[in-house]
Amino acid sequence: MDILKKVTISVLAGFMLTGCYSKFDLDVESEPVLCLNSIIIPGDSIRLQVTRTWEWRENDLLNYQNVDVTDAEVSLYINGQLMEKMTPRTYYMVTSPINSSINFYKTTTGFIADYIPASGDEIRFEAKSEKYGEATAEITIPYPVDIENVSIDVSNLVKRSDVYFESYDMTLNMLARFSDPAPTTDYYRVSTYLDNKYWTDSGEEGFVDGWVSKLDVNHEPLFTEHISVLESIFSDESSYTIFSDRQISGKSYPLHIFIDNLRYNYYNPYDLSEFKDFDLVVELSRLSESYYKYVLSEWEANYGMSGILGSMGLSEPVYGASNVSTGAGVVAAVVPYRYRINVRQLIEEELGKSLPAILQ
Amino acid sequence: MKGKRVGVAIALAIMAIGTVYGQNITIYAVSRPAEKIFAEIMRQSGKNFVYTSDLLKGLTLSVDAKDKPLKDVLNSMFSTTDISFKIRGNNVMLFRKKKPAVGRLSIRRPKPSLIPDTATLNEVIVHGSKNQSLTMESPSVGALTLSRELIASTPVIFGESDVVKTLQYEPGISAGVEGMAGMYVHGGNADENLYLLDKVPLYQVNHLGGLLSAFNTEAIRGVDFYKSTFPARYDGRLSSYMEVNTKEGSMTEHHGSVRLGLTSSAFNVDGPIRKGHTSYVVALRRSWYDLLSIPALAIANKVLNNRHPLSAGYAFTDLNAKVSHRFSKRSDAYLSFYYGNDYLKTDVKDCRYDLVDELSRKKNNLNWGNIVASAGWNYKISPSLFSSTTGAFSRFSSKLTYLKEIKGYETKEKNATLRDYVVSDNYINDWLIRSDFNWQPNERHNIGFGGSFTFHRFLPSTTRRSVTSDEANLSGVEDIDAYKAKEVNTYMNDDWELSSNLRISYGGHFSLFNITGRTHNGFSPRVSVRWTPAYGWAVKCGYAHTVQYVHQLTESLISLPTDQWVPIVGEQKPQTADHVSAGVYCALFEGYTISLEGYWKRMHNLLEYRDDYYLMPPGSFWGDKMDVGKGTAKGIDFKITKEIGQVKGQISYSLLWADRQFPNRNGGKKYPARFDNRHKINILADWKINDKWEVSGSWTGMTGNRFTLPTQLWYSPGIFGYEDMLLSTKVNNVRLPFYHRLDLDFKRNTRRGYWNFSIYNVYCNMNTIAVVRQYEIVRKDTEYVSSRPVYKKLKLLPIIPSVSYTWIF
Repeated sequence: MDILKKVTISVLAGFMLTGCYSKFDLDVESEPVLCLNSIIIPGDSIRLQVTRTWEWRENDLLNYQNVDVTDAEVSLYINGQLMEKMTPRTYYMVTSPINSSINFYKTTTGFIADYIPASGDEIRFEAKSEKYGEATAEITIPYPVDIENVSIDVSNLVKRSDVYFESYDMTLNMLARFSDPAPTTDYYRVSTYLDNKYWTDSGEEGFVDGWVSKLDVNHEPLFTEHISVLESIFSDESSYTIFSDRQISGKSYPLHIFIDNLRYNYYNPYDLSEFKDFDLVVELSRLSESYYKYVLSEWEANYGMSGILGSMGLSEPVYGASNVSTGAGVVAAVVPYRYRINVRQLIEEELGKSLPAILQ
Repeated sequence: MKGKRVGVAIALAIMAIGTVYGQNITIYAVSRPAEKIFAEIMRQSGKNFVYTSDLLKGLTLSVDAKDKPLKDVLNSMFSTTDISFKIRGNNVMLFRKKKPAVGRLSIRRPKPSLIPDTATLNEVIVHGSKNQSLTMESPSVGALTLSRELIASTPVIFGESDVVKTLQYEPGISAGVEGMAGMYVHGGNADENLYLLDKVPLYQVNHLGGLLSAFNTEAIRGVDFYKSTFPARYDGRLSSYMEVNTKEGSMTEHHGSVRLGLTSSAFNVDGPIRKGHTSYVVALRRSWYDLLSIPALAIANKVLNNRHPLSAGYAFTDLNAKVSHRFSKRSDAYLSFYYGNDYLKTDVKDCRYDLVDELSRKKNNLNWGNIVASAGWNYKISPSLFSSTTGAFSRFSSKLTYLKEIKGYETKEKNATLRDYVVSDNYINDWLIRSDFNWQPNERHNIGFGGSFTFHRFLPSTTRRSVTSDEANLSGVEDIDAYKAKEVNTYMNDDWELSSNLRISYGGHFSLFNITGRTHNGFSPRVSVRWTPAYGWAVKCGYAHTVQYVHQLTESLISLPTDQWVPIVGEQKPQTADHVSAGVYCALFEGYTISLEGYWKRMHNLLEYRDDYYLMPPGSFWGDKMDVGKGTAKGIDFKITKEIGQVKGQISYSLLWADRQFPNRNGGKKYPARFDNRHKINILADWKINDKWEVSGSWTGMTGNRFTLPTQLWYSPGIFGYEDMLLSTKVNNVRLPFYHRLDLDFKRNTRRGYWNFSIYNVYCNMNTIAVVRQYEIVRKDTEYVSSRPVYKKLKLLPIIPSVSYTWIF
């Protein structure tokens, strides 16, 4: 529990510390509305989830909440022109959340377009449902911003051996320089991950020859620009790796990227064929404003002052920031630029020698 | 002119005679303390005795009367003393025969509500109902005077007497969140109340997140409060004015007290520096929390072998000090100082398994509070003209520092420590000078006028951040510029007794506020009328316009150190309000006052945070985060008060409607205010059983607060997996259940002081402060447990006993 919540409830409960809960029969009008969700990446097909909102007491932890609205009529407009009527399909969805190395999998019914979007496209969705009404949302896909160069400092390089692997652990301190385009207001996300996952025929994820810790947000002031001083003190959660160009508009800026631990497994005595070489990817994504605001609202709702106090009734509640006309859902765009770092080469440069070859 | 004066005197005499007619007294006493005899006479006659504190020192009286008129009884009683008396309306005024009290305590027109120089009076003891006099005689609607004794005897949480919590028992005043020293007057906001400490405005008046106000009861002489019509000398806030007058030290001998309580302790001492001329008073109050928490946490960390040892402490302090000097009968002065401070510090470490080496550390320090230094001079220019001049410096500041260290951060060259350091400041500095005059040109007019100049310096926020390690040095400053503002105020008010049963108070307050090259001006007319159709009845009505140039940015309902006071800047306009009020009052029954007041209030240019303000960076201009709107409030306040006798108390009821309308909130539609408590009932009683025991009790019942409860949720787009987000809904769409609570306070006098036992929420009705979404466990069988989503009431405050002892010396 956040420190602020502990302190506030403790103080208000006095010495007895006997705050309690009892059931409340709510009698308030509450009608569901349409909800639109989509994350659009240039070059990938457009997928739109059309769901509905639901009242809290409908939540069911055991059974997956099915709020899909599959009978809606969805129209896709590109640059003001009707492009197509989107059709509902069932597909397997994988998401890699911004702050986690865990993937989420789900089978969902959504609307897929044949059109492949590109940067600069103005995209608009119009959805209509007999039961839940109408909803619209629009965004403009931004252009990517390149990472011009990355300087890397490797430290704490340690060779480790156990029964199964031989590997290297290291700490990386990087400066990734990019230039923010002026005069637009721009939003960014930074992420780092290992690239070379493969999939078996059954759809299971294959073996990744290493491990990388979460990006340490404390090394880059831009990541915490939205956190107030009081939140720095009382909130337990670090920020997310998103930022705006408020402080760097039109300037060239070196992003400080600190990875506390990267592990590179290069040798397995039992099955050398499992190994593939892989890259560490530093990804700088340009975001739509809707994505950025949604992430901020999520952070504020769960970890910010307003969210903490709002959950105790001591402040107004924090809503999810939405760019959909009904106030439910986010239609967002993410345009990544990926800078690849071959980890093996990095280690060899550091050691001044080559690592033993591995079978491919 | 002479004939006119004689005529008035005869009329007054006739009134006086008429007043005493039929009030015969039966009493017998031999060498009894004067106060005890007065109490009996007061009980029989319903009259108040008014005299200075040094008049009856050690005096004993004898009297033997059977069914005699009051005047005869008094003549007989004082015949062998140097004390004289005059009966005026409901008051018996006492004076020394050789040194008649002229000037400050006028015997011609006893109007306690209009005596502007309360700071210059010796302590005036009024047996009984000063408020009754205020209610029946003054044209002011919704005016109230609180004595220190009343504040001290009102039962409150933790037994910490508090002037703001005492006012929460008045009709038309909502307390806000339970347990807090909030004040929402006639549907207004918390920042619409002006708190004056010896004529100097205070900005931050809360300790401990709002659980206690900054006013130490022991330092208070009295409090004047206005909520409907306002004297012209007050402006700058929309809803209410509270003037706290601190006490002055005794000119004759030293006194003091020490109080030990569960949550805080207090020390007070006053006395003469030079007898009859100069006196001092010092009052100090400090909480215990840090003295308990720091060692307790240290022990817990040790016992639990905690790898994340936590040290935390919180304390608040109030210090009031005053030196008063009497130059002559016409001239006196004072120097006053107030220091109030809260601090909160935490220190969390992350240690290695050996519990010795630190991996990281987080240290936080928060300090916030007020400093006020003032000097005043009161001078009687002539028998009918008095002046009071005050110069003061007032500062509110808060400072937050945050330091995070990550150790053992090794590089190729050496071990290093990463430091993330943040400092945030905000403050308000005021330098002010003011002069007030009171002029009585004749029997019928009492004219007050004056002016002030204030130089403000606002620094809403400066945040400096630096991240340092051996390889990087990042720093940034988020600075919102300091604002300098000049404010000029001037006023004039005439309290005019047109006839014996018609009195009018009229005037106006004019203000100028200059900031960032722009000058705002405001004119606030004030008028109120009192008509006495018959003896013991009064009918009043009034109108007041108010203007406010500063406002408080607060994101929550509790008082946070980051709550900023900011001035209007740029295109922003001053907040304004129009108040219309009327009332009927009855004092027919001896010792009882009944009042029924109605009011209607309209507020303009109100400021509230936009719904999406949290999406803007903390350092961005606050004006961009605000929405401008309006509000209305209307209601009825009913009260029956008994202020004399062994049992005193009041029963009050208020009916209130309050709403707001902002273009970017609730879809631009009108919505009910948060503290739109439709019905509120308060019963307050104080029973002095005997010389040893006194019991006070209060019962509060009111319609619950409103709040916003979103009920619909939606899926996020998979950015974080599957988060559920809230869908915006109507503002303040839910009302909490009916709130009620009983508090009791027992006072046991001892030879050297008294014990105080208080119980907050005697029958432990845990009131709801919020409704939250939770899962309720539904147990189906021993192997299978499921839960279902429900709404639950969050209740916090149970029965809370407390005890304190006060030693008086």
